[in-house]
Amino acid sequence: MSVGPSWSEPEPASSRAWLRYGIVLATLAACASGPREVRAGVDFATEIRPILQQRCYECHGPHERKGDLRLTNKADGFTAGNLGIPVITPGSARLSPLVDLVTSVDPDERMPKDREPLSAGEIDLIQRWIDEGASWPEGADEPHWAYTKPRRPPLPQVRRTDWPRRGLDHFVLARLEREGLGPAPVADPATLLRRVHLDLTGLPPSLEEQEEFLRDPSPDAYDRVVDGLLASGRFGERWASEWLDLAHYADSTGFMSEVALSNWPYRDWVIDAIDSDMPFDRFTVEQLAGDLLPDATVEQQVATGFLRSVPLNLEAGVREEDARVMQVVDRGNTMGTTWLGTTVACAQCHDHKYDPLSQVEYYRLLAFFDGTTREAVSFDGAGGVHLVARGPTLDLPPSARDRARAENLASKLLQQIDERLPEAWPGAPPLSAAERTVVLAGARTSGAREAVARAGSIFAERLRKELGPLWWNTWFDAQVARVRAGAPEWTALEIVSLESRVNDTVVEQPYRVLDDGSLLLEGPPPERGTYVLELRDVPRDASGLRVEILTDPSLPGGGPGRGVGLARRPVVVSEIALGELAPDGERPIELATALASAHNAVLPPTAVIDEDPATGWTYGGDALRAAQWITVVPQGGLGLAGERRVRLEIQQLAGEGQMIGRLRVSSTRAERDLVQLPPGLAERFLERGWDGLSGFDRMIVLALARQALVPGLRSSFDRAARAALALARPPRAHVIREEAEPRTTHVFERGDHRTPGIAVSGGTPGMLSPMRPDLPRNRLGLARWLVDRDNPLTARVVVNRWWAQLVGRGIVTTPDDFGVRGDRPSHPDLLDWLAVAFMDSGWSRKAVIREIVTSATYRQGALPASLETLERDPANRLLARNPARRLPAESIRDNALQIAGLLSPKRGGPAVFPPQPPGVWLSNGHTIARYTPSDGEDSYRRGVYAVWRRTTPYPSFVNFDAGDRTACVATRSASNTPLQALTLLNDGVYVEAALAFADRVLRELPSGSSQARVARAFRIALAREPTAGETEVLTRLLMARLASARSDPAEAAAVLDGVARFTASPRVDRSELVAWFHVTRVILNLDETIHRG
Amino acid sequence: MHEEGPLERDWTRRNVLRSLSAGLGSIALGSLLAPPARAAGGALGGRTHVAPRAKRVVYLTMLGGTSQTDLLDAKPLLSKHDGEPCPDELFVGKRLAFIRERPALLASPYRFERAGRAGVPVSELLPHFRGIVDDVTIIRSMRTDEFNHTPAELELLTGLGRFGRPSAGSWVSWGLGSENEDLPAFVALLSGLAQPAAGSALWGAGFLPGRHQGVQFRGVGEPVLFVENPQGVSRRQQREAIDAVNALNRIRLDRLHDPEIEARIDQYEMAFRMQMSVPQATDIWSEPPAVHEMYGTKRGAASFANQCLLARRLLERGVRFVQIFDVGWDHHTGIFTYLPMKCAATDRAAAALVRDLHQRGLLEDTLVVWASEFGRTPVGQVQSEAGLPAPVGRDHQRDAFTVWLAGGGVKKGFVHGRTDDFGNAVAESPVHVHDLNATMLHLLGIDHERLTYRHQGRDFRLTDVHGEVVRAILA
Repeated sequence: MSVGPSWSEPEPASSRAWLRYGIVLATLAACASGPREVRAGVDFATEIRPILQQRCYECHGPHERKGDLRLTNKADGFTAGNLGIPVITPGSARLSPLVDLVTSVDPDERMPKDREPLSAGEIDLIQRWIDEGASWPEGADEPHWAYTKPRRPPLPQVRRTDWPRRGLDHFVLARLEREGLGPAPVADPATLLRRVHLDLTGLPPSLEEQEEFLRDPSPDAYDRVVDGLLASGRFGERWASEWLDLAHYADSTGFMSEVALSNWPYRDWVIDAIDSDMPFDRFTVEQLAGDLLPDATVEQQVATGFLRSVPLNLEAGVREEDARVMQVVDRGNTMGTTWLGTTVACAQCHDHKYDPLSQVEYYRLLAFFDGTTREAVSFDGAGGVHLVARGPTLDLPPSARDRARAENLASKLLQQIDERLPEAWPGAPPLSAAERTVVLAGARTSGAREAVARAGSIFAERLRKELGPLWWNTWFDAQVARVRAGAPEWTALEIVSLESRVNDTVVEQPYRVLDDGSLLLEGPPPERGTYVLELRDVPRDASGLRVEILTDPSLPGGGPGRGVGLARRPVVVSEIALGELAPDGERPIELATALASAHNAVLPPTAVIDEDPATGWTYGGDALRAAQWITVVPQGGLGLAGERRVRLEIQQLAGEGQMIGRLRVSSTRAERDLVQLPPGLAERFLERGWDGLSGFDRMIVLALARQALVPGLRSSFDRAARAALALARPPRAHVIREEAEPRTTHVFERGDHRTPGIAVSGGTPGMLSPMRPDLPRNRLGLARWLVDRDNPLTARVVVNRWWAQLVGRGIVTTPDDFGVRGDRPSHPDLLDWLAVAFMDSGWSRKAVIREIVTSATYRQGALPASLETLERDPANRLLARNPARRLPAESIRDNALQIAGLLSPKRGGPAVFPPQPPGVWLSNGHTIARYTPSDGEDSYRRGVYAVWRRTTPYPSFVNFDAGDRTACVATRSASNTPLQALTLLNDGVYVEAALAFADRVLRELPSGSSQARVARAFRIALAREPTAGETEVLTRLLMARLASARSDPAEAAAVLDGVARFTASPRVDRSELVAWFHVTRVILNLDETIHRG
Repeated sequence: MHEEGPLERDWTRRNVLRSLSAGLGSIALGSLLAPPARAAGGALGGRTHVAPRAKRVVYLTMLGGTSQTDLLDAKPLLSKHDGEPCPDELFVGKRLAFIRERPALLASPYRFERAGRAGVPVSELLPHFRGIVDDVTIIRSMRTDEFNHTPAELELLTGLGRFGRPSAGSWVSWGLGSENEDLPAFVALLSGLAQPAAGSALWGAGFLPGRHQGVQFRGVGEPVLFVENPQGVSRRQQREAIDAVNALNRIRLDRLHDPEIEARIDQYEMAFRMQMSVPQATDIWSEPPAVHEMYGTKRGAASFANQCLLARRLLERGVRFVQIFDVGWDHHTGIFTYLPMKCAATDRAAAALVRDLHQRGLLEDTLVVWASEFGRTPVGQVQSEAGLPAPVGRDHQRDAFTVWLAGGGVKKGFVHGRTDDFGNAVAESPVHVHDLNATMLHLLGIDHERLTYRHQGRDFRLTDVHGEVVRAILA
């Protein structure tokens, strides 16, 4: 309940306890301990003011003056308040009301009021301070330590001059020597190697790396390892997580009805920036204001994804302005925690209670973020007005790899055209060089889809210009003859009912039946959804079913789509499915192909029967204005048996209400190739001839001719289109844009944007360094101010977080609070020295991290030099050792997969879906969540690439303290729970890893003894040899499991069957493999495995 | 309260001593080690601020916004003016989620009958609730600040309508610790296949240490994720695997004396016990048929009734805080179709839970809470744009709604607070959701202003900077 005894005030130990300690003292390397320092007088600045700040300022601080008392400066502290006499009587604690107030037993009188009482230690300090004269030196009213610019302190003198390896070690050692303590002995090489590998890359050292290092006697061997790891390309993947926690990057919007909003180009930007050691000042400026830089590059704009990583509330009932303000506030708060180590959020509703930050100053900070484009806009659809995510995006050029794949695909398609064209069209001129260039350039600049689309239109153009006569003579004459003999008759079907579904919920959808048998849908459309129609009296042997998509004056722009407002929108159909309705249920009807009145090359009508709702059919250009149709052709006809009732399901998932506005369904019994002609076209042709056809009708006929004339080419196009769709979609990044018209920012009364107070403009808090006059008063200026060398906080806050990651605890143990209530630095000079060195290095992250991991401080073992050290400093504030730390959630999985030999080295790209038990993702509001685990390599990718759905994060990461990325987090907790044990024991990911690890050991040592194999497994997982005791435990387990696996082959088979996707290596004995699985599973569960030592 | 540094180890004298003494013995000593400290008590060290009236909580969270005027807050005047355009105070300046044009008053079509000794009017939709009226306190004067689902859910359960704060169950787990050795202190149950709007944040630990987050017990599949052994691994083999893990961990403990390793050993033991106790606890089908009849359980599906019965079994086994999340009360349209369905699916089980706890003598020190994130409007919501027969519903309502509590030190057969004639706003004795939380903590023996956690330089608490104990409902 109180500030506990600090490390410098050990409780006296009983002699009995010391006797116990004596037993192990022998095992600990003893170290000379110097004489204790004699306690000097109480120091106001370091001992008293922190108590006043932390315990009294809430009511008697910079913004509050309860009881007319303020304790922020000497003049006020010694002045009479409501009590009528000063609360402090220098020289006499007994006569000082302050002491009475903090020690009172009357809860109504005792200070701090309604708060935890001061600790005995704090009261003692105050009493002694007053008795010693209550010295409150002039100048002690200097600002809080963290608000003054850091200056490089000189290296302190140390006695053990042979210990320091780096400058920073002088500060650590000097402090230890002052306390009469010594550092821990250096960690053994194997531990050190594994530690630095896990700390810098999140992965263990390979066997080769271990051998190389342990054999290399040269003094710089370790430094070379460090350099190698920093340059390994795995460094960024490990260190990005810390930054992504601050940014609270995720792949969904969060909140009810959350939608996927993956901004992986930004995540990859962070990884690349860290790997390439982008200077932190640039790293800062590009993320906060990359869009405002002159001639901003694509990468600089992608960097602003930092600001787009805040959650977005799209739930029905939220107004645009609510969502926007919530994001602006989140951005301001995130900036405060990330760069200033300060919880500015406290000032949203009132002046900060402790830190000198006023409410007005808080809103001046927010003003910098207030001018950006809305990311949620209202959509007036079925079920009322709701919000849709519509933030600014940036289409990225395809990556070099994607470009190469796209070009490859385009060349193949061109080659097929070259080969097939003469078959279908003897004497056809080959594609020209110019035509090829157009296609290949499309691949290069915009990716595979563009290339296929360009090839398609080039080909259509040729048909139109050159193939006309040929087509006329061969194909169409024949068709005409058949049309004359019996034009396909399309008969409108009766639609019994239409139901509109959004996800799995039926939504109200009024409609009207028109005289022609069509349905006109009324009212606003859902944003996306599915129409389910029931049809009656369908001909049993119908050869085609056609959905006509008709125009109507009541639709926006006259239709045929619904969409929003007056704009004419195309209809997008994702999937069409048919089923025969029988009394005992529904029989699915298999569809052979689909045809449409118009389409573009990469979104063919066949996409509606590919069972992939992510692909679909649509049309554009001239076709936008006209009625359309799409026909599905059942495999071998409908073949209805029963009551001739058919269920027709039309999925339309494109969003923005791009749904059918008026439709009619008809069927035909004509021969299959005739089915392809649109209604009325054959009749129009017979009536008017080719020349009498409209341009649009001709286009349809040409498209049909292309399909019929060059069947090989058609399938080439279809294949290419499918391949193009399978290739990565050209990446799209979510970025920040500033509105042309600036918004006026107001202070919100009580923190509520609906009660705006005075208007403010962008500005930085007065407690910190001023913004240089030449900086623009916008986000760019703010970002440059954050990394101005005069800014007292940024460098300190950042190096402190890195220090905490590497040494186990921050120099300031409250990394997200550098304010007066935060912990004071354990080594203030060290912090400043590191901060200045960081800036002097040109803000190089790698330089600081290299400095730390090559230091003697970092290289200490986990055990202190003496038990006294542990006694006096249990929390390791003095840095007299480098204790083991649990790996972060992602590293625990990465490490296990790497040990098993399963981890994929693939970098970057869209989020992957690692295996997880079914039923974890549940629907949320209008969002139906389907979790389809990634296949192949993608299921073994590093955790940083795993999908992060805010309302349902990845379960094993949750169990190991990764947050849900709903809020900015500076430090994760490191809990120790039974759920972690269950995860490592039973989660399929770890079961598979154990099996693959066992397989690896047997594969690599096909004829080794059990002892040799255990030793190898230990080296792989823990980078060290096992002890005799450890080997014994594991070989005993192995023998027991080997016996049971041999006596009960079914049980062994069950283990292997349980991991369906795992294939054992040939020549590995199945019983042995399963027995070893039990052993490797134990190794993956060890405390040591999930810690870096 | 002292901040628990995330990377800081509890390397205290006591722990060092314990680990050293363990190291002196043989490996076999391990299973005789004292149970983990966390089972003994939480951050309050086993003490409470005031005498506790409840030891545990079962929280029925009916999400979406329950309609008070159709259930427990009868409004005769609303019936009298049914269909009339609503007066100004129900619309002008009132923050509604969907309704944009002046709506009409919408009477409840349901009959209210007086129930219990106090003659409390209860809707015909809640026939089973009538039978427990004498055991409950109804608060008709609830209010909240948020009127959208996610923020309102977060405010109800974490004290602030934004992400990042610990949920009530986590606060209780952190403050009071666990009452049992082999089940978590805080369990979250979902009644169906949909999740609450705010997702797992509603049982998340926020900035509290991760072990205080609610553990989700699932209605389908493994009852707790990863609680089942891998295929082909028997319970005996699992025991031997854990023995080997712990033996090796103990060898390391002897070398490093790191208390975290000792804690890890304890956690593996608890994990093993959980693997036994979770299936036992979750096997509701071992209950006699009469119990199933009472709750109205359903085989083969996740249901509210099944989860209520499961909740009782968990409470019996010492789980401190059981929270059931039931979504689907958001009736903007078709309320007179869907509300009866939701009531039919939950009324019987909720009443059965109170009865069952009573019969087993558990109600005395178990607090039952039935609450929603907000209520619904007394005016109707129609989709007039379509120009067609309008589906009737009610919009979100933050200014007045109803919750009920039972057991654990609250009055019996008591109604607190009053709303105005239309159920539009609180007329008497307002109770903010912060007050509800303050009261819940008070009943558990906790002063809500003193259960604080230092984070980012501020002392946080469940009730943010608000909340007063509602003394009027204390027995």
